[in-house]
Amino acid sequence: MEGILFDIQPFALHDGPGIRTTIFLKGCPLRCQWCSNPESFLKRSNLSYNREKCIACFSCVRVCETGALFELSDVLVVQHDLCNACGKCIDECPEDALKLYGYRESARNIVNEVLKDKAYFDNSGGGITLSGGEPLMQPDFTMEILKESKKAGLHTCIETCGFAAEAEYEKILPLVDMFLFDYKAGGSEKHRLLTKQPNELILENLEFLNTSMANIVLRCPIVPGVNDTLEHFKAITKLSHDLDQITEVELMPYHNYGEHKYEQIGLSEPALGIPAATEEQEDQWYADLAKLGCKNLKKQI
Amino acid sequence: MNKNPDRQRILQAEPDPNQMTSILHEFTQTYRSFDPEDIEMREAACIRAQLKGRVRPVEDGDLFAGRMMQMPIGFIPQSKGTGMGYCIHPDIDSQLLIKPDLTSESRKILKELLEFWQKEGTVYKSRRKMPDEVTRVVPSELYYLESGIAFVLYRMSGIQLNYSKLLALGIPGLRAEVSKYKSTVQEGSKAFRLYAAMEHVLETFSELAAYYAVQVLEQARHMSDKNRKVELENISRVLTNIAHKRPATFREGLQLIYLYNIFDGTKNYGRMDDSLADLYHGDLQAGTIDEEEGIRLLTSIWQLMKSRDNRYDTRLIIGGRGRNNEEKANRVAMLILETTRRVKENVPQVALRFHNDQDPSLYQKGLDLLATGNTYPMLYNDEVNIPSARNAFGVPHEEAEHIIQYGCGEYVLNHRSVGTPSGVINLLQALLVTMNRGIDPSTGKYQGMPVERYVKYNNFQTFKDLADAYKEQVEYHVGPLALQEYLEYKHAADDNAYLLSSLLMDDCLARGKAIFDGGIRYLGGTLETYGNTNTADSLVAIKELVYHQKIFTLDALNQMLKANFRGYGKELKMILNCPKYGNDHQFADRMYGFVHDHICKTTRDQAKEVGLDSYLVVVINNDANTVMGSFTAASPDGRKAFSHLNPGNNPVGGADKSGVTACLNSLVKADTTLHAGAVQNMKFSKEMLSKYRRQFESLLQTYFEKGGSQIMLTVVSRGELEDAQKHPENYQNLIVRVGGFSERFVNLPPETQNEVLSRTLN
Repeated sequence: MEGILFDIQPFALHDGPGIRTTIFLKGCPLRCQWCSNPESFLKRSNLSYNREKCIACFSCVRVCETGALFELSDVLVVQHDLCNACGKCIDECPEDALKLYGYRESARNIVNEVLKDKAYFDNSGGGITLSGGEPLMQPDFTMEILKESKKAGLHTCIETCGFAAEAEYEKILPLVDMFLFDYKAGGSEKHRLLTKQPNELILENLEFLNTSMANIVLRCPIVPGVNDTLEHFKAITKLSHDLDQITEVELMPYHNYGEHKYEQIGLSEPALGIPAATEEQEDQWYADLAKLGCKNLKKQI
Repeated sequence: MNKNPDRQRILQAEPDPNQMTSILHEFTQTYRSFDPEDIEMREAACIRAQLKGRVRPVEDGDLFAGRMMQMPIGFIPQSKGTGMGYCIHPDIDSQLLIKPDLTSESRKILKELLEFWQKEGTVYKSRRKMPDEVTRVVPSELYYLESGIAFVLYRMSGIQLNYSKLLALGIPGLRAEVSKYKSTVQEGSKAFRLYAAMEHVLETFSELAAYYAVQVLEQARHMSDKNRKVELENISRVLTNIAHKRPATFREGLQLIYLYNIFDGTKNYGRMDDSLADLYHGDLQAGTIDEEEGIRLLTSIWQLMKSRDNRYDTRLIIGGRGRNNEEKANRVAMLILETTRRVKENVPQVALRFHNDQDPSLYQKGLDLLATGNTYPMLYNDEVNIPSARNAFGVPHEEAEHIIQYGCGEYVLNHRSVGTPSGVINLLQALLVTMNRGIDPSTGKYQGMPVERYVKYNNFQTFKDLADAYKEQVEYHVGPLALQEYLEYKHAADDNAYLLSSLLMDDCLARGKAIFDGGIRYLGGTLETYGNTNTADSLVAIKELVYHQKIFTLDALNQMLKANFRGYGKELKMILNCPKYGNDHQFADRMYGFVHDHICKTTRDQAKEVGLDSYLVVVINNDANTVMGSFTAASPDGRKAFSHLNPGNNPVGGADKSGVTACLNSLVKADTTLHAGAVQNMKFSKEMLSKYRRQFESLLQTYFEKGGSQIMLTVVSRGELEDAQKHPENYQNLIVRVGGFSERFVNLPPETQNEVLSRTLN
């Protein structure tokens, strides 16, 4: 069975234990203000245009059949909503200014690719991680990759925002060794403001995984001036006490490496536009949480 | 020499050029006074005669004697530049000829001497004797000045002496052994003359040590600083002892190794942890030394090595199987690593061998050094290299355990074999010339195999036609290169006994033969290969686009290359998008295997043809990849004209887009049992070795388990390198691994800096 993904990243060290290969699936139900992978939002391929590389030769325009690319007073204009992601323009562009995010691949091929690094996983306690986007936007495909992975004896992690039907979590539960579960903001209204979705469903799923004895790492993106609040830190601390299955609480300090992609893929939402969190800030947040009595913190300051 | 009345005058930091001229004159007279057949005693006398010009005083802070220069004209087995016996220093102009205080009389003498040695020098003689079948195919040595497929190098390198034996016997013991052998052979025989000359040079060595001892004592007498005075007296005592006795302490051992090494003119230091193990252990037992003192002594040796400035050599090997007492040797190895950590220089080039049963703390200490930005130790995996060497060299396991590297990573069997790289081949140039049916696209001139040989390849109608023609082109060059190597050794033996090296190389003494006269146990040679990865990637693109997809013809491709891809942006993109070696991609990696296996086997099979015990490829790298690249036209892997060739065994910079594991997976696919060393450079971020040390260790462990032979690491950030190009003044201490050597980044020429920058940072 096939699904759509936008990257396979070997030697991933940030998405679960050991050396891992992370699969980035397309599609996400949330629109977090700080998202560094905006190319994951849509469940279909999308065109990316890097204005800085473009030499305005317009060879792409000549092959575009939908009118998504056109010339306007010597400048290339990209009408992203007209693009059908046929990819013809990409072959034409001599400067690699155009590229597509998203390609279809079968679960079996993905796992075969991942298995090239099995020896590294075995020596380091690593494995495969499904990330995105939200993998459960493609629940059957996710299920299929997990099944294939387990058949091949891989340790499996899934990075999830928690916003999917409980039944989906129930289905994948026996196939997942570790849930990297995002916790972004307390209070449903605030959550909606920051991510465009409420958080009741997310918390219910977290609760469900906890009672199902899943192995959970709570991952908390912390964005300066957005959710680095005492109230939020208190909520994280409470979760670390209330949910026995949380084996680790990990902070994910905001970075802005993905900022340039917003414009390139023609998103109407602008990037957050604030500087990345510093290492000192990160240390301070960990220290604050430790002071509040948060359990199982990843980093001991 | 201690009897020499004018010793005070000789020992000055910078001898007067006229005085140097008269030393050279005397040296030449000494040479001429011998019957040309009497090469052994002539060499012994010449070694003695040139000492006056070589010896320099102990400098402030030195804890050992051994500041000796190479003569502008003299006898040295391994010269700077090209040389292998009687040679002229490549810098003779700046060293001597243009000195303002050189009198016209001296200048006249020097001119005559130069004329004489340009006839009589070992390399000059060998060149003249080289037969047409070599010079017709590989006429040039100037790989750094002109375009060409293959070049010869006249030189000798990579002698690794038996320092364990030197320390166990000391000079008197070694002499006794020589004398014993001498008593068993007929007086006047060649062997007798060899032994007698060996006795003579050992006597000269003792005199040299004794001479230094007196000099240093003299310095001590005038020393006002009390501590330094005591130190100088210690140096003197050590020298007196090694002149006449077997070394009894770690310090004496170090002095003996260093002085013998520089006296002989070899440039590598063998398995120092092994050779010094007993002496260091003895001192520790006796309580006469502690770790700090050990480090202090080594630090001084490291500084002396630095002053010799042999950045392409100065190898020193620690760890590994085949050491006499691993536990004792490991203590010295730890000391060596700690000294390197503190001194942080580009020499000595410390290589750490490791195996599954070795004390892991040594390996861990090695990683600690790398994590703090050292480029040493380089890591060598015994589990792969010993079986590989067994196969490549065709020797039993016990011999293969003694595989060590010298120079830029060429393997030799410690004091059992030699393996000078006397040829270089640019495989990419071989392909480009072949594609153009004999025309070198960078010059438009004919190059390589004769034009009639192309006829059978049907105008390259199939990929196989082209690949077969490429193979023939390579083979056409390798045969003469092998023959040149063998003859070069033979010519060297016609004129030189290399007494000091022969004394400590197996089995010269037992056989009564000089090293290249049948003395050395395994007479080996090596061939440096360049552009291996570019060639493989080029063949992939050709096969895919010309023969499989038929997007353009080979002639059209030749046009694109001639235009350096200008106006062919779309085609270049297709080429760049073809699979590339280093991505764990089956097609690309198999093509690399084809190129690799072909050149390795072609080379290996030449050994028996020409009479060598082994003739093997080395996929090493100094800066020849950059230099040769600058004469090589654009290539079908998408490489622009005159840019660098890939370094060592590495993927083309930036082509390994699938991450570090994929790159390592590709690396381990190349057969390690066919060559005498292939080097891998990798750059890692600092974070990787600090924050992710556990994962990093797993990464290396897995690589080595999968068959990884060795790795050379530089820990650095890309930003740092870029900033260092802009603000060199802030980065004087930033050392990077270039391939076969390490260097301060800011000292590298811009092209090489860019090459380092182009390598993927993991």
